[in-house]
Amino acid sequence: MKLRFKCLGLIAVIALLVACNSSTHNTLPILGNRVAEEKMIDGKLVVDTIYQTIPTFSLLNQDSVMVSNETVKGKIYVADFFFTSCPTICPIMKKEMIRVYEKFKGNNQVIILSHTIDPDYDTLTLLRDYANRLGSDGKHWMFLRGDRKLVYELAEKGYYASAMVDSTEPGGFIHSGGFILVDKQQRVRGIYDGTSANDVDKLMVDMDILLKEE
Amino acid sequence: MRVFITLIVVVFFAACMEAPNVNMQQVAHGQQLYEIHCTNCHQLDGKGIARIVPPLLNADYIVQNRNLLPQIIRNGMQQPIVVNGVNYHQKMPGNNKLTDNELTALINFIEFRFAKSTQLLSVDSVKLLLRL
Repeated sequence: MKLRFKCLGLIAVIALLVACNSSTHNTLPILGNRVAEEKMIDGKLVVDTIYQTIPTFSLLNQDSVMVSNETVKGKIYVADFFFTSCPTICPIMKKEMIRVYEKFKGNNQVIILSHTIDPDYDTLTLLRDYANRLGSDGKHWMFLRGDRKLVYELAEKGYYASAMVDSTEPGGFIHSGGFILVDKQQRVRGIYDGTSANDVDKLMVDMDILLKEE
Repeated sequence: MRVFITLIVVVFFAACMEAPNVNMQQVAHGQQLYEIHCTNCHQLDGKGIARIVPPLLNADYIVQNRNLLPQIIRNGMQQPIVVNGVNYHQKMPGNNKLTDNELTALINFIEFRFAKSTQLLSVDSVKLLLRL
């Protein structure tokens, strides 16, 4: 009898430890600016925190379908910025993104948005071929094209990524190799180095965490 | 008896691995260059990326176009190609900063590692192929 109590006690302690552990490790930070908004509800002052979200966007995908905030509403998604003729970091980013795609392609709650930063060269026809060659079904991993200025602004203000024209760079553009993880409420929850297999492993773990969030 | 057989097997494999006309020091230098300049696209294992970047490993294109390799690496490649039955049309950037010696080492590494060839090129033949 005594032994049973001891066992129960031990189990309780372990359960508590696991619970504590999960509460500290299994939530992701919310990145970006936040403002406190004061509201009067039923005569009481309530302070609400407003988090920064992805700005409004609407871009065409490789199949000429308009993709906007509405498309990713209620889903988690991963965004990145690239161009098909990039001779430096993009090929390795795409190889890593294939791993993410392969892991989550059966999940309708997950989308990948790859934005071209070279819309002059990367036509929709070219992006369609590129998507096809990477093995994308065109729905869970989409390739977006839009006005250069708008996309660069979206990269910087929405996703904390950099993208710009630089003729001294190989390929003519400079951009960050980040994979940006966005939650169901369109808040950025993590930025990962898309050229690092370790970082991308972490991204995939974090995506599972995010999928469990309400 | 068993020891004897093992010994024969070991000697046999060692003889196969070290072909007499392969300069392993040069191949090692070529490997360093490969890791710096080529792995981003063609990958460390030479398998390429999906249907975007063609493989070098066991690529029929390399066997059939040996003499073009110096020019392709130095000047890049614009036209579409077919490798092991798959077509690719991604442009490959050239690298005109590699010296003739480095180019030779790199090609010999690719030939030795990915095409399993032991008929490697001399610097003079690379220079000749560049002039064609």
